[in-house]
Amino acid sequence: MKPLFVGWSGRSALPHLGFLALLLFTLVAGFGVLAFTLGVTVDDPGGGDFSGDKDITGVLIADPYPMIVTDKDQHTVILSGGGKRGVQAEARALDGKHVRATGGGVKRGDRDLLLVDQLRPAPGDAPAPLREPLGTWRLTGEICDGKCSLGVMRPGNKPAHKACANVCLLGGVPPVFITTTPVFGTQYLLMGDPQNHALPDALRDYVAITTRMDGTLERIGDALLFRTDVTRAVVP
Amino acid sequence: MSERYAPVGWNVTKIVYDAVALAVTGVYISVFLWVAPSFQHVTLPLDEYTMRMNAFGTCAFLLLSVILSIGPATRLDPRFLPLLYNRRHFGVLTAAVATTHAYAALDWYFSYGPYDRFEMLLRGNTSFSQTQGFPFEIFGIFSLLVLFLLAATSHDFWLRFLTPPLWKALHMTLYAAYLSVVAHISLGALQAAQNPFLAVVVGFCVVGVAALHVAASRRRATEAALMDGWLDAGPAEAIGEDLGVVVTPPNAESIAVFRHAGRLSAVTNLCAHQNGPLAEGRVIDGCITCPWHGYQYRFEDGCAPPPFTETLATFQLRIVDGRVWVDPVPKPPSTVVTPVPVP
Repeated sequence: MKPLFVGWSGRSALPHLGFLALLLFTLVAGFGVLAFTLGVTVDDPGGGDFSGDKDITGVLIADPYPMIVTDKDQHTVILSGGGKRGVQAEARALDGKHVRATGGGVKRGDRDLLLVDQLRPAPGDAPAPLREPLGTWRLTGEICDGKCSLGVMRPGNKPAHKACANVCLLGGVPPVFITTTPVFGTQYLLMGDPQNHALPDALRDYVAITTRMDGTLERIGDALLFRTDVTRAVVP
Repeated sequence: MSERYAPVGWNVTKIVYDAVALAVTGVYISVFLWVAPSFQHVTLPLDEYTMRMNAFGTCAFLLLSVILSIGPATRLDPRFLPLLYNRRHFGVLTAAVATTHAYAALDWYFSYGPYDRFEMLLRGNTSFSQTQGFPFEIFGIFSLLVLFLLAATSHDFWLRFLTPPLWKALHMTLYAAYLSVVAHISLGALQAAQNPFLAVVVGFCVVGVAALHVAASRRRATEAALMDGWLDAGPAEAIGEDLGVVVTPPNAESIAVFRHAGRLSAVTNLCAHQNGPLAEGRVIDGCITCPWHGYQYRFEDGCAPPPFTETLATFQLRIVDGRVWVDPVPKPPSTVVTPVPVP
């Protein structure tokens, strides 16, 4: 017969106390070392973060996704709502108008997003924002929701985050296209379909993975807008 | 008729076991969440919700790997048996850790939108036709449901209600849950990871668990083949130095197993002179000595020392896990069988 371990006897473990002590130490130390190593060896999520309360004035552009081009320096700020929601309904009524928006800022590099608390008409004329067509481009990169990827979540991209990005996009948060290499000095492009509408639901199959897409680029304020037919996206 | 069940029948061993399991889990979560972030090489730290997901997710995977290793480890080395004793509590703890991971993901990734979080869990990603971006959450959901089911039926009431064969079959689904967890990690976190360490850990665990099962399975098959028809002569340590014990095969003459100079050997128990009981004899001058007339035989080949010519049948021995096993098929008299050292 093989040896037994009878837990209720309280004595079965006694002959192997040394071994069990070693086993206990190995388990605790092993788990501690693994926790430390796995907790340290994380991929750098970059420097996107909340940037404090913001109060901006500029021209509101509702399509393909809401944005404001500021009076002060023609800086383009993407607009989103609280939680995983967009502000399309509020922006629609003020399209092309001179507006003032307040809320919490999110910033990654030179790209800003405003989590809108208040959006209302501002006095004064609405100066035409700078627009410059930049031709047709074939770009490789990753579609993300503009909110998480700019710094609300760290990390806020890659396949593990795909479902979250889709929830944001379903709620109306504007998508962005993060290119693998900079285009005109930036990797964060605003997105829209070729008719300047919001992207279709088919977009969600291509979120959070590397894709190659053809489309046109336009500079609006200081941001680039990539208009593309996502149904023709290619996974390289 | 009725039967009472206490929630848990506690004893000291169970309390110690659970304390160790909680300590291992507590150390892992604490180090991951509160020590490691200070040493990350990042522009800005990962957000706390993601860290929580990662900490509890990886912890659940490692705990599952340990749980699945306990069974084969005990077959390879009985000193691991104390780990088997309260494995059910280990499983319940793992289910709790996995639930914390799932809740963190549900709260961070699927909440705060205009739709119900559980609806989003199922509808957020439906790219089932793609490898990249596959809805890996589905594998996590399956594993978590299995862990829930196993945790809920871990009590003795369910063992009795379902009957041991059905209960055992149900709890073998843990292997399916483990494979599903591996798919969950491979199609999720590993798709995004640039640092290879997580992949190395997952691969090491999967290969380790598989290797332990293969080794235990081979060991069991080898033991079964080795012991086919052999006779158990009891623990080796129970045979005193220069003493013999008797093993009696069915329908055959008895066999004497001796220990001399720390080694075991076996010969027929019948003296070649008048069939005296050799196991009841003594060891004199390094030879088995018959208690009736003092006839002597060597341990290794059953031959009387020269100039005498009597010979005995010899038998093969093995020691497995400290027990002595005897091949009941006798070797022709005077066949040399090397004595087996007692470990």
